[in-house]
Amino acid sequence: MKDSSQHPSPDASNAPAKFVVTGLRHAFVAEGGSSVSVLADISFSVRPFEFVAVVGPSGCGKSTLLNIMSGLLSPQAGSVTLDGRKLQGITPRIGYISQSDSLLPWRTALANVELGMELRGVPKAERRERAMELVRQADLLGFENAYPYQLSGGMRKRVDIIKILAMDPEIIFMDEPFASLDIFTREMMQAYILSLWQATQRTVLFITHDLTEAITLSDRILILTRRPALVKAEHLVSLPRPRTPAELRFDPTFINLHKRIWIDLQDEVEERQHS
Amino acid sequence: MKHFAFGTPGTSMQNVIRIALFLALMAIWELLAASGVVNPFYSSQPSQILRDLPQFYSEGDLLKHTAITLAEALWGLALGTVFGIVVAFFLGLFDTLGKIIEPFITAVYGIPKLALAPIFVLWFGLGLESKIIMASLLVFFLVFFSTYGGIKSVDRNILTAVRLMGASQGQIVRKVILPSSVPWILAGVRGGLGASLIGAIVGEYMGASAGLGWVISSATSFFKVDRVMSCIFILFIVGIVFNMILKYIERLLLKWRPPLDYSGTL
Repeated sequence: MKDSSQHPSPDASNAPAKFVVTGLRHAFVAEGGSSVSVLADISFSVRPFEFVAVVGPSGCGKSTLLNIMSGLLSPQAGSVTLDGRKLQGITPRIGYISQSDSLLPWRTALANVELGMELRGVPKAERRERAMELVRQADLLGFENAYPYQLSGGMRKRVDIIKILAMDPEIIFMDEPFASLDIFTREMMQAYILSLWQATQRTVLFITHDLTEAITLSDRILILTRRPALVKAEHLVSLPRPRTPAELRFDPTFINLHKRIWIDLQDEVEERQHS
Repeated sequence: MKHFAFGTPGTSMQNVIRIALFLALMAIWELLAASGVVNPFYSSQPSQILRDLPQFYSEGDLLKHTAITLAEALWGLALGTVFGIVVAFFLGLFDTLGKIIEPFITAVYGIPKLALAPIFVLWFGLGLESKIIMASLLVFFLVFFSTYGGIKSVDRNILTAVRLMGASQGQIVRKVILPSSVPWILAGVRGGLGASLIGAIVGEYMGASAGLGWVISSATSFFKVDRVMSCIFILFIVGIVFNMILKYIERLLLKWRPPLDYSGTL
């Protein structure tokens, strides 16, 4: 099993890659001036319309990786290309959904969904119509005029997601988006993401530390080592789509994959405890 | 959670209790003065104030003096607030400039500003200007520090998220920093309300020919304590009205905030 997974091939199909990440390195200056290497040497690629999950022990640099790939942070070494061109700064082609609640608390749900279009100068009537359509699809009808504090965690997350969808990005990054939700809400959100992805396929890079979530949602899972991170292994998720989260977890393929990834990760966590 | 707060009186009941408490305090004052425990020559008494107020009004002076003091305070409040917000945004958004200038403002803030009142009268005369400048100076610092603090504590996650959505610097200021500073600005204005009245009154003490502060100062020198107390009563009402207006504005602008309710936590 380990033979193919130990050596991630940058591109499995013939289609040109959407993202190619080559030799990415990054270090932070810690308190006291010493340098902490976060990303040691990361290389991988993402195909168009692929749903890739990135899993790794906590604090391994997953978020740093996503911040570099979104153009928020410049890498100290290595490069990221998007459609063959070097990524430079923030691009509207990427929608970023973060772990923290990033809704504007003084805007209603609807006004939050409209924000991205507003920034791009979409006329009011048009953006309102599109935002209402997304609100309807996200099953938030009746809550469009509620302020974020009046919404539940799951509802806020859905607003956060459609806020990004409203800008129609071709690529979506998600950084542990459901980490703060309870298990039932999280499962509902996973079903929601699956249905969204089924409806309009986009390239998705999804960071999580939840194996079940990674297997449920993605086509391919990259396992990162502990800090400083390398791509340790790569696993293809051959579960058929459309998937139903609640049924998947009793599927033998699912259980088998879960076990294999678990062992990969176990090594990382154990080594860390020894060091 | 209003439903669970047993024994907490409702808003209308709170008003009744508040007014009853006020009347009780007035009654005690009246009784103490009437029974000679305190000398009404120095302390006045509610019945005397009630008698003096219509007289003050019919002499035609009450409205005039109140209007003058109000004009000074409100102009001071408006100017101080505008300058406070503008300077705070300027220093808050241009970080290096803020780091250089902000300590100066803090240092000047340390000067007891009321000490400047006589010199303001010297510079700007006995009219409204010197009081407006006094009042706006007091308001400026309160609004400035509050707004500056607000700009510096904008939620980083929100800033990053909006930047990733492709917002320009100007859009970030208008759509994130400004609305997120509104509660802080209002907190500054809340303090500024009282400060503007203090600025106007103290300015009038130092040299004026009209205004409630001038009436208080001149009535005191003639031992007309009833008139002094009438003026203070008017200021008391003005303070209440100011606060009610601000509360209304706050309710309007801050309806996106979860209502604070500490009942049951204490």
